[in-house]
Amino acid sequence: MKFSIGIDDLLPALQSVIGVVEKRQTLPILSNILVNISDGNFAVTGTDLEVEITTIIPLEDTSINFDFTVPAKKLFDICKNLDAGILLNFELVDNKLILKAKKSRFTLITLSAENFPNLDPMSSSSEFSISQHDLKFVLDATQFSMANQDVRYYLNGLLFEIYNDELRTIATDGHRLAFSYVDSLTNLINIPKDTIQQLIVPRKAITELNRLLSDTDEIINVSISASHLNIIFKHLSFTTKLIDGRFPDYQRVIPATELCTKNIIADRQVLKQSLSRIAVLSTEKYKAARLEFKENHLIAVVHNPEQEEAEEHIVIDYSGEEFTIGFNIGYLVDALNAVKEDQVTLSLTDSNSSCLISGLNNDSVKYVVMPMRI
Amino acid sequence: MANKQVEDEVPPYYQHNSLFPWQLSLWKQLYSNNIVADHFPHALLLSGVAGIGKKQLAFHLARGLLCQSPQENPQTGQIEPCQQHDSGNACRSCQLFSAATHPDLYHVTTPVDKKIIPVDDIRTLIQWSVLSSQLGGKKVIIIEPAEAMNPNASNSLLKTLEEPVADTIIILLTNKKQALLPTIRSRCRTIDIALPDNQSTLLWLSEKGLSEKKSTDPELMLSLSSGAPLLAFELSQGAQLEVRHLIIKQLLSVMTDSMDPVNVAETLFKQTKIKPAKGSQKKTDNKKLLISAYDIIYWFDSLLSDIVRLTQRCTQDTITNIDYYDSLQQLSNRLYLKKILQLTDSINKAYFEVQGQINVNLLFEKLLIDWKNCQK
Ligand SMILES: [Zn+2]
Repeated sequence: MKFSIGIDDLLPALQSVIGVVEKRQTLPILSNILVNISDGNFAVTGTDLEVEITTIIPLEDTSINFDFTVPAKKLFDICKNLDAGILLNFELVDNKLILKAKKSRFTLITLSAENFPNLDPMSSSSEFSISQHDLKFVLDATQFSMANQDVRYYLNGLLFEIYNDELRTIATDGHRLAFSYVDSLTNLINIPKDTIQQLIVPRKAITELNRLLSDTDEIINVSISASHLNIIFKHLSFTTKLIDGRFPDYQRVIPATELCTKNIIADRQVLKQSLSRIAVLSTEKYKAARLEFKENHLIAVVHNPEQEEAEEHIVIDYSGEEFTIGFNIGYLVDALNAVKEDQVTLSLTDSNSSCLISGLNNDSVKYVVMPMRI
Repeated sequence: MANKQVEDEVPPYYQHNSLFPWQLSLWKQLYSNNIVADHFPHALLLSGVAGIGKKQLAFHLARGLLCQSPQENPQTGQIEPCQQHDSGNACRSCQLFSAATHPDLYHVTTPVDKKIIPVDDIRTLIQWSVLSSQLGGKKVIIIEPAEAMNPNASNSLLKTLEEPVADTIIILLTNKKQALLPTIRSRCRTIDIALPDNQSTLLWLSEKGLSEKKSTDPELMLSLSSGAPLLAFELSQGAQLEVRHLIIKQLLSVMTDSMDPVNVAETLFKQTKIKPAKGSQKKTDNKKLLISAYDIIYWFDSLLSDIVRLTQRCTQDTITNIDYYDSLQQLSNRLYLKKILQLTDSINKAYFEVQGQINVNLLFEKLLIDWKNCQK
């Protein structure tokens, strides 16, 4: 069985798949990729049993049908070192794959495709379409707040909430929370009206998905089953398992704006840069900053155990009772980085409550940071 | 068809006919009766001595729990996972299971050359366990030996045992149940697996080709293995039998042929210093037999226990080394029981001493002189 494929098509296809193929695998066959040639398509699949990615290259010859698995890293490294523009010839003899290109020749050992534990085609329950740009927006706005290796395993992922034409993403590590949404979903299939549907996408899948997304208007199709989330790009299919658990009720954590008695408006860049400057003196263990809110004036102070100190005076828009509160300065900077508006609002219900941060007159992203004892 | 090269690497307990005859009723009790009602416990502890096939049972249970179409086997009348394994007749789950590539089975064991299951391995397992299953059915986790988990690993696992993930079954294997955290034990349904009765084991061993003629007498093998069938079989296949003969003959020569205990100690010590010949475990030449200090202590211990039993007027069927019954019987009349018991204490210490930095030659000399002095 023989066929050939241009290295310029093959290399990017392998590049997209190789990310999920780990070096240290629980099952040896997972260091291989599955190659499946049928109906004029050359499909490469890699999986780590959490995320599965398939890329498809259309072939001119539609008469070939066969499949095999081959060591992913070796094939990728071989292709990487070949000259651009050349044609790579594949030949399968028994369990050996022979690759020929110009004067090079490689023989790789294959394993049978039928023992490769890739997913069966998913039977989805609901579907929608979204632009790459919008999906990237909600991921970027929230993913940094996910927990990492927390015993509350349902926090080690990103909550997706689908509500009519809204996609909301929520992440929390128990000390802060990030919320974001877009209301641009189209082609809704099996999405019941006025009903919230929740799924938790594992952390690693979010990182991998973000790598695949670009800031374009290209529409991608998302389908959801009880156990998987699948996204179809033009020549690529991305599937991830879901975390089997219940996400905490995040609505309770976000302070209602109408209950916030202390409302501050600040220039985002100025505030962010001031806080970043004094954050230098905070330590990995001790991240607290003391914020003293006065009439149109904020004093931010950082101490460390070595008795060093940093202080910034920042002009803000605030009128009300003076108060002092402590926050993890890293979380504040993260939130100010993620907001895109020039002006931000900081809202608190009282002088020792959590702080709600969002763009002025824009609720598409919201951050909640819990206070710290200072 | 399945690739030849892979098949060779798949351990036997992944095969669909991996159950041993003495496990059939336990299998029925654990699987067939539970699977129909979907009553399988979320955590199972299989406890029993080494060499009775716990791993085979655990993997077969896993296969059964994962199988997508368990059916009644007309021969046994029991519900069983797919039986037809000629091409394409098994379900996808059983097919992947046989290839040892099942995505919903997670096997945790000690890393190569290590004796401990580290906490990181349990954390990775837990991360896996909270994800949805790949084939849409159950997920099965096998941890063996469970007592190899260090305290941190055990505590990590405990959280999962306390808050079980839906449709996820954990099977722990142990031959040292008491070494497990009590909290781990109390969260599992424990199955104490008894030794099969000697008659059925002897039958099985003869079916496996063991016979007196090939100097692998099934009764002797079973006696030397304290009744554990797989140990008995393993013993008959390896060089361990000849190692045993050599050690026992040397030990007895001190008494029966009045050999100098110091010389015998040196002979045994030299034997432990032989470097393994590359790629062969040939057992024809005694000079090349690989013997460890542990082996010597082990069989010395075994011999002494038998002699103690015989001095108590115990019968032949209560001793381990039944092939040396006559020599041991005669010897037992000529020895001081008190001194034998003292020597047994030294032997028990020696198990630990040979693992440390001790001069093994001197240790053997002392033990063998004491041995000689047991004579009345
Ligand atoms: Zn089956």
